[in-house]
Amino acid sequence: MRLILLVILVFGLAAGIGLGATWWTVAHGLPVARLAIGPWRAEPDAGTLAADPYERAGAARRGEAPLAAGDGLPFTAETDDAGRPLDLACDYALEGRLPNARLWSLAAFSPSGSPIESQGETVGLNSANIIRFDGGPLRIALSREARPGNWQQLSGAGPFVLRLTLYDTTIGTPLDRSDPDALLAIRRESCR
Amino acid sequence: MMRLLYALALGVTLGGLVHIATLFAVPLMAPGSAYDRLAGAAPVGRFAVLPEAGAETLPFRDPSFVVAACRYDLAAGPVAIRASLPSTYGSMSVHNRYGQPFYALTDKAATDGAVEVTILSSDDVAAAEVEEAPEGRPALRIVSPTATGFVLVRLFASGPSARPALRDLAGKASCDREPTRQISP
Repeated sequence: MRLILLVILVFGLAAGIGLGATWWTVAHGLPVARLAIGPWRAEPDAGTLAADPYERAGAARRGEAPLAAGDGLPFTAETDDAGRPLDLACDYALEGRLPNARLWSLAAFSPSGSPIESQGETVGLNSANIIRFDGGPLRIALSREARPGNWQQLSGAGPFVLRLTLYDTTIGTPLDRSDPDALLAIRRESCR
Repeated sequence: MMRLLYALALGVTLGGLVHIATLFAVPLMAPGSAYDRLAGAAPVGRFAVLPEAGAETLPFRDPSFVVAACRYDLAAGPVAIRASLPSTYGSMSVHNRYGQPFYALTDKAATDGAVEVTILSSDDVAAAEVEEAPEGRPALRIVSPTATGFVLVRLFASGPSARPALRDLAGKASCDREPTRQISP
């Protein structure tokens, strides 16, 4: 009887630990081994054949085709600077400077990856349609209501993620990886 | 007591093995992988421009880009890709069956505004070397790690007004079977 209980314990523990660890790491990614700049996270190897099994499994589960490393590097933010999850009910102010890149784009997505629509269209901010102020840092407002300057409309409810993609950039390469620059700071303003 | 500790240690060790095995199985078994999602939107052997909204076809797609996709199947022979990439920013990336990119070119590599690549299966490499025509532009040939996969052509749209023309351009990319050449004895 005790032997049967021990066997059940062994297999239960094995299944629990093994499947639990797989589920968690595939859903959240490995907490280490990523490029982290403030609230932004990137996986520079995910777009190469050298991607580790965690990156491969994560991309397969999301159904995503990762951006090739030679193309660009996407940074994802799920929280603001204070670590609170991004919420569509809140306003956010993004401010900072971006590292050298030929092109960058910023877009808001639902956690499952569909773009947040504004007035029936999906529009993303990018380096070609952004307004810059002389000498000042880049400022972007995320809000449900129209804002002056660079404004990305939010709509709907619930959590969201921000994706900042730098195209044709050296950040994420071994030379730059040791010296991560600050990306856009994400400051939460009022919530409704 | 010793037996319980032994059982716990065994359970944890087996748990590690289960974790490794299931982790490697995820890309093979994940429902709704990128290739499966494209099955509804992009036919085999032809580029289709993906709809602007919705996560059903490729989630986390950059809304600043116009994306066209083509699935390929190397069972019937090599596939030749030709895509026009405007110099505003365009890229062509080749992904394997599990969505992992293994080759990418941006418009910087384009000649006359277009890139041309031939995708081969590892079995076709030797044959392709024999068939190499002495004249003409040297062909860029890459070997796909899997027999099926997909190609994405992504063109940057600086504004909504640029989209219709870019959608036309992206849709004109071709991904046909390579015309077979005669092998001279």
